Amino acid sequence: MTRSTPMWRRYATLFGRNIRGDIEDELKFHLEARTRELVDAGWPPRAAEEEAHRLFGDRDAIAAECREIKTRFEQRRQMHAYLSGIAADIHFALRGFRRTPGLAVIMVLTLALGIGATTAIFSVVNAVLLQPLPYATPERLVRIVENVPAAEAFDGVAVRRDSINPAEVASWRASESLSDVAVIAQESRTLATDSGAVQLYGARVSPALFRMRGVAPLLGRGLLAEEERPDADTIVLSEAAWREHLGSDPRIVGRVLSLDGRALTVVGVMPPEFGPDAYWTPFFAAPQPPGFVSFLAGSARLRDGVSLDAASAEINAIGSGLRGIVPDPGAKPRFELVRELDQITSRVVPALRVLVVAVAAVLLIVCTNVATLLLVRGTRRQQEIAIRRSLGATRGRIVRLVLAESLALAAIAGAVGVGFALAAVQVLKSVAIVDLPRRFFIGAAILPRAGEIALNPSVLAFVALLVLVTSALFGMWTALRLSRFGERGHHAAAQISASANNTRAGQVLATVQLGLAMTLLIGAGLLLHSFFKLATVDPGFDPRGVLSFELVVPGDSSAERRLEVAAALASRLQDHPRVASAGFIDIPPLGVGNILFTSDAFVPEGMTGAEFSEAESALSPNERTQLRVASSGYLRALGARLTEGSWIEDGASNAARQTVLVSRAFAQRYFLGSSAVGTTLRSGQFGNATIVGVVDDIRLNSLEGAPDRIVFREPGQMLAAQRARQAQPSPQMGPFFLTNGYNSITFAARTDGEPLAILADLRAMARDIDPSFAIDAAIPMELVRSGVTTRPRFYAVLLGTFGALAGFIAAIGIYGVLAYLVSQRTKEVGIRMALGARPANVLQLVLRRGVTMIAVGLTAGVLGALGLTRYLEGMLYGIAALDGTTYAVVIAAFAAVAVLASYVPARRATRIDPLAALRQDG
Amino acid sequence: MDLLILKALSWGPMHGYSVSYWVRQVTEETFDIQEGALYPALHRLEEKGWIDAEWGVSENNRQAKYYALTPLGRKQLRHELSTWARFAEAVDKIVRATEKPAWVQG
Repeated sequence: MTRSTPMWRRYATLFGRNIRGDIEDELKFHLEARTRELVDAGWPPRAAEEEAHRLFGDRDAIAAECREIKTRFEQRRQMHAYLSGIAADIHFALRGFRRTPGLAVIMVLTLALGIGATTAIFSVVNAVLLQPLPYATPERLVRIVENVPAAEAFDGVAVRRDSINPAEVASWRASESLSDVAVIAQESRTLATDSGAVQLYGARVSPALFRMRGVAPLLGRGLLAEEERPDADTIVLSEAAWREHLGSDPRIVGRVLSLDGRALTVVGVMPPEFGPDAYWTPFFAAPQPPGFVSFLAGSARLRDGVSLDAASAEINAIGSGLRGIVPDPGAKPRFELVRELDQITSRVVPALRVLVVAVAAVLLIVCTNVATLLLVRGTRRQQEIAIRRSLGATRGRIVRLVLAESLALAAIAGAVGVGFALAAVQVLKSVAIVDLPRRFFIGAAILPRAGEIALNPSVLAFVALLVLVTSALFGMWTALRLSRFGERGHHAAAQISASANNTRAGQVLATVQLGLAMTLLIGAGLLLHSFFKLATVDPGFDPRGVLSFELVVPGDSSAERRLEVAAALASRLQDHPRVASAGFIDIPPLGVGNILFTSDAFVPEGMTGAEFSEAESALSPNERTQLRVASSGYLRALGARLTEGSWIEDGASNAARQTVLVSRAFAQRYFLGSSAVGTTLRSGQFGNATIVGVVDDIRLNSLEGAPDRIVFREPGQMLAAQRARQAQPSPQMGPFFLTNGYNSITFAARTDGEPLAILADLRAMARDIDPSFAIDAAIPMELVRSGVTTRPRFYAVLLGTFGALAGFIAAIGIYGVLAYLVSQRTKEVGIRMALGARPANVLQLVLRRGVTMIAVGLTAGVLGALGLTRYLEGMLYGIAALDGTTYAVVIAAFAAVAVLASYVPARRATRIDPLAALRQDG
Repeated sequence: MDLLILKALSWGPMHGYSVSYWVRQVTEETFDIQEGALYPALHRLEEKGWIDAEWGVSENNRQAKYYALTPLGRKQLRHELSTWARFAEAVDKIVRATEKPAWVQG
């Protein structure tokens, strides 16, 4: 006979009641009772037992059936209990929030701001770095990158070049690891349309690019391999160009367009994912004259099944062969393959890293703040918690209660946060996408792929995860602390020390917040200071009232014709009543990606060519002398100033008498002490020229760094000189003359009011002179000036916002902690005051606490900043990462705010009425 | 089977053996069912919520599982009784019919 399961074992099993034992016992009871009944009726014991079993039936089968029913029943019961427990907890939590709506609202808003900011930054990172490029098999697309040592580099500085030499394409294509290699040559050409000439920015590309990217055309087809010929006359349009300039003509495929005078047949239209260019024509690598090397953007595709590392090694071998060197397995490879996405985004990764760290700091501050608030709120409930414990709630149960609260809080905040993020992303996108003409801002956006930033499913999944993690973070911590209340053996005294522990914890958290906020504020301060410096640097000219525009020239126009038309337009503009002066230049000021011609051709009087060369090489590439070709009215239109001499006269197109202007920086370097005016600059290529004037410090190339050293030439004189010498035209004279390789000449016209007001008249003038030339990219010069600072402004404002947010929350944090401390110690303060303490002493008492926190927090923050701000170095202009002024100002400002935040509760402490305090319970 | 159990428990809480005993007594051993089949039925009724179970001590100081009707169970019992009554009434009418219907042949 088996023993029946003892009572305690029945209820004490880990997974609920012991079902098997239960049923065994029950059936055994029945059998025993039946046996006894039979024995009483006269049956012998052994036979009675057998008969009882016979009457009962198949005991094992019955037991099994009962077990099945029971198990099912029990599982369902436990599930119900658990779910209703959680539901009850959440319901209770929501009721609790409704009781203290103010606090709940603060917590939700704070958390929502943190979640919203983090989500916004994540959607940026997601779109730029994480999402694959919108091509078929984007992970197979690579770029060939060459690590060029300083000795072989163009300007003596080692460079990591990601463009390829078209002459070497055949060697790359012979590789076994690459299935395709494509060259991309950006260019601009003039399209002749019914409404006049239009400037298009497109590219000549290897037809293989279409196969590599695998994007399906909207209409027609892409370029074919057999079109890689010099006489190919096909063109593929972008959807944007087709829509904007050709009216979305449904019969566009097969239509013939005139691009720079060439007739090209449209074979297809590509969607925006394929690329940002307006059109694509076949690229053919024409043999270059000896000694002439060009580098163009390139893209390649890994053969299926080949790993990046293996392919990279092969490319290095091929490339080293091309350079005539032997690959050194120990050193950095000369050539390597980098994934296209990584290469495109490498430039912005440091800045994005800064943003991610900044927003993480904000989130951390927000979480610690909410945790403190929850803790404070929780300690007010310590009675309630103690009662629950005494009624049998386990510690785990309390933890679950608080966690449910945090989860409810975080979920609501998450929903609100997504709303914030939506708005933030809209703002970010609109600020990131820049509305400047192409020559002033390469690419349309501050961040690559900015157009793809959106709140898509992966971002929302991230939000869900974030909500869980943040609620777990601050919830768990608070829950663990609060659940200690009412612990058996925890009596009143322990209760008080527990709440004291909590205030101490609150103070630690407040200090942490202050530290994080300080670091963030210093970083933001540096970026803002740097941006401010850039925005206020004197460019040496006055852009107010100046209209900048481009005169689009037909691609087949001669240098003479271009000059003729441009000069005529400048002259007519100067006759306009609202225009003071007008002119044109070959390289627009503050443009990007310009090809700068160094003026090592112009040797100052008194130096030999060799000496001049040496003097120039000693300078860094940005500081070397540049050449600009500007019409006589241009510098005046721009508002540049003269320090000596006079402007170049109008119409001084005399080959014999060449006159130039130089900038002050040039004059200072080469004519220190004496006046440059009247001296001669010798040029083998262009004949000698006399300096007639010195232009005051001017920054035409970039606003960063020192003023430029420039020699200004007059275009009419250049043409006349060339005609006289009938020399071989250098690139400056031929297709680059006045256009710098683009398809337009940049103009500036100084008006007496709103620059765009003369636009209509301007267009009429251009049409009148020659209708095949058109006006494009008209923009007030002031916008160009401020547009140059778009990128630094973006990051400065973003980080500044985070910093302000963090600082504000941290200040609220310290206020809250001190206010709570005062409320907890009201009785103590009352006693002190009753014993003769003056209000000033009480003030000091509280303030001392506050100031300690501030001092510790700020010091930690400054130390953190000292260590971390070097990562900002790439984004700072004109100031160092350890800029004393910035540090001093930011620290002082934030300290003031923090002290003010501590002053308020301290002040309130002095108003405590000692009698009321003493009467107060607890 | 369910009706029998519910009716038995309507007198008060009983353990499984008592239920079986009472049914045997009242019906004078008319039903020759397996006694063990009672137990799955009991557990099913507990799952449905018509009866509640609790361990207690029996008359001879042994531990036994007692079952009792829940309010829901009582309602179910009333329902089943009325159904049974209507059933019995119908059968009764059939069995006591004395008149042969007009439409039957032969």
